[in-house]
Amino acid sequence: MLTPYSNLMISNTNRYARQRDLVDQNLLKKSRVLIAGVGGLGGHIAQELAMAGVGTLILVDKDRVDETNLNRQVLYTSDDIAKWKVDVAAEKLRKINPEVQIVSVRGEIDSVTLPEFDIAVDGLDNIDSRFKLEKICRDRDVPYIFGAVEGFMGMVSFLDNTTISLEKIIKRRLQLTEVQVLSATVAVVAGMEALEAIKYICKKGILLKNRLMIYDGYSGKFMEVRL
Amino acid sequence: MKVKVHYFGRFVEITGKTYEIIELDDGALVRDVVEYLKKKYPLLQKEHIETSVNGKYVSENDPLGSEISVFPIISGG
Repeated sequence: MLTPYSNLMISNTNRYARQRDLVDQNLLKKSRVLIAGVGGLGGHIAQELAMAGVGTLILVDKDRVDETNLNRQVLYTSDDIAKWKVDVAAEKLRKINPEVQIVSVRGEIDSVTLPEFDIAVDGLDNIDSRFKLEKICRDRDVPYIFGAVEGFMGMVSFLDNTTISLEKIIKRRLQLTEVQVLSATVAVVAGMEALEAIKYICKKGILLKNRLMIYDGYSGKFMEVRL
Repeated sequence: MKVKVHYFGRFVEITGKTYEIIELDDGALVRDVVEYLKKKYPLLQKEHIETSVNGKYVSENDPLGSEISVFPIISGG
């Protein structure tokens, strides 16, 4: 008869069986990933990284769940309206993968005390916060995966102290507007961001350094722009 | 000179096409394409248009190639 402990071990072994040849599970387990913003992009990213077995996810968000979030923010349901996003997200992610340690940080990215992390992934929804996140990452000499989405379109790039800065990509600060977003587009872009993080952690593949990957779902095409 | 312009994102919806070929004076710069497009499509006038030529990110003072891609910078999440 199996003890609860041995059940847990079997579960652990089987959980990652179908990615065994793709990633270094030990490196993922040791990694600490900051997800800045746990809304549309951030929720999908957190889900992907939790399922992949990232050891520690640090979630930062200042908002509560709103009904207008529910068309694209995969971690939340109607029952979660008015609750703090980081609290709900942490609970959902622990159910998705109990092996992942979740650290919830409630507040603006530049006004909270952040623990150490190995890489930051962009789940933010405005340019100013992205510039703040990039500065935090450059000061700590850790990479930052930029991602944004709007309508049927998204873009992703891998930034660190050896690459072009975000200000060279985004030359003008855009006016904040109510952006139209579909969950399907968010999922594509978030998947690309999560995969960049996994590649970096596992030292696999070719990162999007000095490259901006643009996805245009409306026309059904990708474009790579050398930066 | 003839230049093939590829549209991305909401620019496809604004122009109603994924690409078109336009005619400009020889020696035209990226800026000339942007000005041409803003004149032809009034809805582009309020947009900041980013550009790449032969897959390389370029600014408005850079020279053109036979093809140029135009796209918006987006900020949602």
